[in-house]
Amino acid sequence: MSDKIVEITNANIYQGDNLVLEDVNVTVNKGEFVYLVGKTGTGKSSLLKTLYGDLQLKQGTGTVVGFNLKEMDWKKVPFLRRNLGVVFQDFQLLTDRNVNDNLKFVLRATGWKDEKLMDEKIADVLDKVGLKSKGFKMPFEMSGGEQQRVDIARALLNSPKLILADEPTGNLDPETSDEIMQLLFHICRDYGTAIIMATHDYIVISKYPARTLKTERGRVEDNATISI
Amino acid sequence: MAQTGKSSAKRSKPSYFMSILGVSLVLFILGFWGWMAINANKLSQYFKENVEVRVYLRENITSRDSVALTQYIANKPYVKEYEYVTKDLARRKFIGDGNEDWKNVLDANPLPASIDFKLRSEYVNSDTLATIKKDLEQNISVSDVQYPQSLVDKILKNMKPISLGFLIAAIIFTIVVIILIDNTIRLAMFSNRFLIKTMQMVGATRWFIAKPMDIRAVINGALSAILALIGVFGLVSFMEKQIPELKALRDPYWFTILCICLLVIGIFISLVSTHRSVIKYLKMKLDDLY
Ligand SMILES: Nc1ncnc2c1ncn2[C@@H]1O[C@H](COP(=O)(O)OP(=O)(O)OP(=O)(O)O)[C@@H](O)[C@H]1O
Ligand SMILES: [Mg+2]
Repeated sequence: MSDKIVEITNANIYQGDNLVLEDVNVTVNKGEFVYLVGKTGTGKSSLLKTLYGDLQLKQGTGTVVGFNLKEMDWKKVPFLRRNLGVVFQDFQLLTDRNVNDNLKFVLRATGWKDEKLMDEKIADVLDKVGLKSKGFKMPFEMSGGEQQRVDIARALLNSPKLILADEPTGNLDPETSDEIMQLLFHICRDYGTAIIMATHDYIVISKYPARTLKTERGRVEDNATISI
Repeated sequence: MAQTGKSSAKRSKPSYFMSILGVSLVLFILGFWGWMAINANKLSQYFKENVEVRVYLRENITSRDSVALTQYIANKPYVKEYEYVTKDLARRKFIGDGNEDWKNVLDANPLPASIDFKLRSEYVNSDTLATIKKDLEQNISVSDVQYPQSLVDKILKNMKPISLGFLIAAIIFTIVVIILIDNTIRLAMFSNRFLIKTMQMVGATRWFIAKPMDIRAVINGALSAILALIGVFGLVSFMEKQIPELKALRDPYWFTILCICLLVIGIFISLVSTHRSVIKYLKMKLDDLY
């Protein structure tokens, strides 16, 4: 697999019969932080969905954390997702249980059995996102920023090499956005996790500059190769 | 949008309760219908097996002949039970029916001896009865064969459409029940769709997601069936209190079958429609959930 976490070549990405992105070529290396920007409806989410197996890759080739996207089917997708962390607004915590149980639920769903190992892992990820003592809180007892941290903690549970985040700061005030960005960069730097983050928030990008991909006119442009 | 996911996760429990209640309600109606269908059949069988055929014997036949005839009748497959009525017994029955004794008027007993038998229900129809009558009349010891033709006609006319009508209605009703239950459960599963998606997003396999819901469905189906059965038992005993004659029609065999059927239908429908809607939500894209 070398250090290439994501490798997409000559891919066409469709929503139904509509071609959303054409001739996509993207490579993301281990520990890299990449922004994904572009106007509404240009295909940012579609690209991310292709990466986590919610959209079938019909044309071109693609590899994500060692999984061939061309060979993805409903049987293999779960195992791809266990090697990814997914963070986005619509993907909420379960409100009928506290943070610990939310996280334990994910661990059980992904094949963990040992209670002690699960507890250790939960303590570990909560520590990483700075919520060490908040495991017993119910989601509705937490602020939006704290909930977003729990989302990130959840994404970290299976020690992924890649985190996909779709507008993770979309609902947050600037200060809280700041905290979340610092957390993401810290995860990227200290644990070598590659992160692809779709966002509209140019303030965040200018404050935390990184490689940027832009969806525009049906193409993905990369500021690492051309300036945008 | 985010709020939708939250509140629906919370509502998933009460809607289980509603689906159990809904399913048990339709099962209850189905069960009561089943009970009525069983009773309708029992009732027609009850009437049919009370049809009596009288085979009158000639005067002065030898006891050998009468024994032979009795043997002959006893061995017929259509005979449910028979009775040899001597002339004297015939007289006592005649008086027992409220008629006046003729002893003062007549020296001899004018009533002939007879062999009376009741038929098995499946032989009670006009053609078969005519054939039976013809066959018995050929016997030299027999003077006449009589059965209540008008009663038979009435039974056949009234009972047949009821049973057939019941069958058709029951089939239509079962289909309606299945659709209703399917809808109730799908509605309950609808509030689980975000839970299902969440599990899927974190990499749970379809089997892992479906298994607990399928198990739940079996339990819920069984609970609904039990609730429905309690209702049916209650209503039946209430009706038996009102119409004590119904007790005569009690049939533990068919009642057990009815219970098993309700249980099987409850569990089966609950499981199939739960599993189907889980799979439906598993196949759905996240965007389509809203
Ligand atoms: N489920 C879907 N079915 C059909 N078409 C879709 C679906 N989701 C998105 N599309 C279409 O695909 C195109 C790209 O949508 P996508 O959601 O990827 O854009 P986006 O860049 O993420 O936009 P936003 O910034 O608003 O999130 C749009 O034209 C959209 O209308
Ligand atoms: Mg989007």
